[in-house]
Amino acid sequence: MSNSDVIIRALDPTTDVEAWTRIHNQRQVAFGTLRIPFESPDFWSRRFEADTTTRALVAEIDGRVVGGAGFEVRGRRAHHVGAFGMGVEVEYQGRGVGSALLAAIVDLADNWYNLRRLELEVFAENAAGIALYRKFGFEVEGVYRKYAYREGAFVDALAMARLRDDPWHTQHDEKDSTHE
Amino acid sequence: MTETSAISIRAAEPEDVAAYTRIHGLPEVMQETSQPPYMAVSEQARRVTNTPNERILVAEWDGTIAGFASLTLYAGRRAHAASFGIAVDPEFAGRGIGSELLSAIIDLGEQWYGIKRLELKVLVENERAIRLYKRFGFEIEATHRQYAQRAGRYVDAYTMARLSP
Repeated sequence: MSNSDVIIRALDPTTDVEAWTRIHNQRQVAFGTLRIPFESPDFWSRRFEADTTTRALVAEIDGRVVGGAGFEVRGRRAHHVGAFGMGVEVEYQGRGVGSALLAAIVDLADNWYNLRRLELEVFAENAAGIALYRKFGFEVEGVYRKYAYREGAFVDALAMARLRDDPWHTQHDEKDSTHE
Repeated sequence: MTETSAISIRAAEPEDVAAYTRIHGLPEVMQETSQPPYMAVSEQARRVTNTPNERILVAEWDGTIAGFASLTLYAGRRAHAASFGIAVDPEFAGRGIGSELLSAIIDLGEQWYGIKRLELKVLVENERAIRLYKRFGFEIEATHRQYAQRAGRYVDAYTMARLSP
């Protein structure tokens, strides 16, 4: 299954909450994130309603929501910084869904929000996640020791970030515009 | 509570908002913290409001407010961790107020809230603060490049953390 089969769109709180809840309750998804299983859809509904700063995206294959990501611009003196996290349904991992979500986040950051810095935390043992982020230009900035609790142990997480130059001084060539 | 001859530490109260706004608007303090200039007293009320997860302390020197510290407690899978920040009025620099506030934060977090990991972000250029944190067992874990905007440029920040043995 290639990336072209994955559709990324905004989360629709009226229809996507059940799928989002199901995915984030999966033990292996909670394992790779900071979620705790047995969360109710109502928790997520209220959270989506209350949080007006985080943009939630979902990944869809054949009409089924199989992954999600939350993206936020930090604001004030970090107005140039974005942070995000993502989760992919266990049965659909390893098929490019994470790549598609990350590509959408990078697109938002680079092409629309003009962010200079994208940052995230990823568990130190999450080799697949770390490899994905490296592929998109993220670099390790350090290790947070005993960052979070996970299945009976306190585990380390890596701080990773991707920087980008300020395009203010770049001369925009009208002839190269491809948008219609 | 620890008390040296002139420094006392107490909880912040709503009335402290004016002092909070003044101190956090001072150029020297703004250099090292995350607030921009021209913050209004009317929008800072929450900064001096204690909540279950946000514990705010005031340091007084002979009864005059000289500094603030806040301890932010995390929940769920990060319940063992907390972050904090400290700001001292430069008028009162060099008198041990930063140390007293940091001691109080560590005591509060570790001895009373079961915190095993205290963490914070500090600008790389803030050498004085970094020395203070190192003295209290904090170690540099990460360097965040172009983390914040400060006086017209982007500056790096460290994450420093202290773990309980």
